[in-house]
Amino acid sequence: MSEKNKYERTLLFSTKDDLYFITYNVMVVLKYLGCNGKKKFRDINKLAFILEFISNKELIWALDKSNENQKDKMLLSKAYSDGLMRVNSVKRVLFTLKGMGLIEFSENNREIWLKENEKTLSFFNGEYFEYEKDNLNMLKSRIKRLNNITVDKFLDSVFSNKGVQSWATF
Amino acid sequence: MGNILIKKVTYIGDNFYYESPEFDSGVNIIEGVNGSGKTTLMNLIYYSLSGDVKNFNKNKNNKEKHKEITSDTNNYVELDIIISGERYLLRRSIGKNFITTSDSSGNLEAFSINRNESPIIFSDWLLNKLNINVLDIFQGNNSFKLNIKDLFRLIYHDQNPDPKKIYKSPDNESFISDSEYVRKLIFQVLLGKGFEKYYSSIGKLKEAENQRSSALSIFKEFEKLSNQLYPNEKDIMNLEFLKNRIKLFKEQLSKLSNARELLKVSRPSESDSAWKQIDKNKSGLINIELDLQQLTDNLNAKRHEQYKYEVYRDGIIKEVTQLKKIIHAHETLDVFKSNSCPFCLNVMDRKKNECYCGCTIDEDTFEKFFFSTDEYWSLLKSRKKSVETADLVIESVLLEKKSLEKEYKALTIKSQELKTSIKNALSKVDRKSIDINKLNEIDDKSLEVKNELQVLNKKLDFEEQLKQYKDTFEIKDAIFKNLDREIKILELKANSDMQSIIKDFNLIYNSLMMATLKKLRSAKIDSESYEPIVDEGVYREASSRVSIRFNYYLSMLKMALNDESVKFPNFLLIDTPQTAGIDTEELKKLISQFNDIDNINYQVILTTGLDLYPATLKNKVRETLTDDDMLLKPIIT
Repeated sequence: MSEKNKYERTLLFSTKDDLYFITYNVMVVLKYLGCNGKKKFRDINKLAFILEFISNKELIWALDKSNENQKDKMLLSKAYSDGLMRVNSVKRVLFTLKGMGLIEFSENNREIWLKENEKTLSFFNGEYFEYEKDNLNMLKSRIKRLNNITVDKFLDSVFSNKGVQSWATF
Repeated sequence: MGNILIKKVTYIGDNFYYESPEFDSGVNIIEGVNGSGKTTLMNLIYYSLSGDVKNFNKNKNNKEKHKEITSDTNNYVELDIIISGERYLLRRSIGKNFITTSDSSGNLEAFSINRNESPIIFSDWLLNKLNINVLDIFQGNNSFKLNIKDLFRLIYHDQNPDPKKIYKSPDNESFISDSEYVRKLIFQVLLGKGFEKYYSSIGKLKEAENQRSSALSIFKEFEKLSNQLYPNEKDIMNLEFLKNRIKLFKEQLSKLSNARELLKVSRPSESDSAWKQIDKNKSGLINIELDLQQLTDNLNAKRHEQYKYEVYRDGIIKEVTQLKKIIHAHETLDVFKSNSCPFCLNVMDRKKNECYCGCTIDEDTFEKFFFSTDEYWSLLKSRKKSVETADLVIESVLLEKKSLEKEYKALTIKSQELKTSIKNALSKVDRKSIDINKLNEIDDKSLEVKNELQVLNKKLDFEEQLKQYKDTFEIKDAIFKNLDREIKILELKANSDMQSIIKDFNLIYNSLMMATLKKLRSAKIDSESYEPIVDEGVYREASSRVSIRFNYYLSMLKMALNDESVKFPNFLLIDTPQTAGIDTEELKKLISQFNDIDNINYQVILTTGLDLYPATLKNKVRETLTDDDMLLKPIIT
């Protein structure tokens, strides 16, 4: 590959658009919500939005502030639309991960959980995901039963209640 | 002297036409039976010279309509005419109120007939050619301009329904147009010499009178206003007094100002240098404060710059950490490979230089959807490099900021020092050395004087304005009085001229009358009204009316022929003077008087009955109209 093409690819690359970005965040959510088979993660549509929160601490802080803060409102609004665009990508990644034997789906495809095997163990080996873990814990303390609630309820509590319109239906 | 000479009359319509024979100077006779169109010819001439002929009015309510002409269409009358030696063609369409004129070189002009339609009308054009001034006539509150139509009242000898009247009736009869004043004016303009000047001076006098009275009313209004503004006797001051008063107050003001300066000068000299030092420090302080303001702006800009770079750097740092996690996931999980299908995400065996779909591609430019470990690492490297660059930039911004802050601090200290120094210096200056009480006293007094001065100046302006209005009135009044005097002299002169004219006129008129009426002893005109007096008012024979009027017009012509300065245009239109029952012999005698005129510098167009003219003038008959050969000939198509 020529230098020029390399340079162009470098410029066009965005970490948040990379499927590995979705991959590691989904794994982190399942792992630190304790979804290991006994406990399961319900409503996979939710994941795309949770991703937004655990990869950006400012968003979690925005949840605590008053509704009048225009800057926070804009941040949340952007998170909603970014999440919405990522919903399908997340699904695609989930089915790939299933195929790789990293996660498991329930029969009706509505619940998922992390499988424990050599690959997943080595993935969580080390302290790579402290930042995400931290954010997830903070979100957990604000949203009860995070693994179990429906996407609509989740969106209500993080967007609608904060004055950000959510319009999509799942 | 101007004169009128008609060469030819033409009438053309869709249904009728008429073309006159060529007329010449001297007498031109048109004979004809009653109703053959003699009067119509006269009227056509009069109409083409802007006269108003009721018979030609197409209006439905007109009961005396001339049937052929009013029912004709596209009809006009054309006059081939010589005015004061220049030949023109005049054309007027029947029913239209404008006349077109064209001269021998073909210059065409159109003039309105009515004065309210145009500033310069046909009458003005014609009078100008005849060398007669267009006079403004004032009667009571009305003013109007003299028209050629008015003068024609002593030129066009029509068939007057009232035989007692000498003048032709005006086209539009009103108490003004037929007043004795206007009649006299017509006589004076046509025969008098100094009268034109007299009448144009009257116009000027009226103008002057208007200006005088408007100047007077402005002056009086202003005076009234002055009395309302300054109702107290003591407030009324004349200009001289006011000026003196203002001068006095001004002097007082300048004395006060001098006294004030003296007080300042008496300040001790050692504090003088202290004040100088304070002033110097003050201006220094102002400069420093300005610099400080500038520095604050620069510092704020720098801080903003630093913030922007830091936000940028933090963004990349976040990306670096995310990239590290991506690499970790790739290395441990190995989910997506550079040969994964971008749709189903399964790994597939893609041939080199071939797309997933099988199409041929250039491997170098083919954009893959997934990266290899090496590519991820080089991405990470470039992101790290970006962080380093951002760090460098931030570092240099910080340095600049630091130097600005240092400068700011130094200036703040300097400013503080100057403030303290000024404060100390001020406390040391002995301010008691100026007599503040005295100064205040002077200032109060000055203010009082200034106020008084303002009031006086206002009054002065007012008085000056009043004087100006008074002066204007006096000038206008003087102009008016002067003109009035001049006019009285002109009037006297014109009157005396008139008396001699009347004397001449009477001589001619008397001899003409004596020659036509055998029983008559004397004939003259009244020196005031210019109306004829025959046998001192005793002669009452009805048929004599024709001679009285005919000879009046003939006398006018003869007067003009005797004296070139007379304005009368040496032209007469005479329509069959037969109505008052004059006998044939008397009529012939009347007409034969033209034989006695030697001078041929005139033109008379005369209509009469068949053979009703002296045999001596047989050669002057230009046209004979009969029942079979009427004036207007039908056009047979």
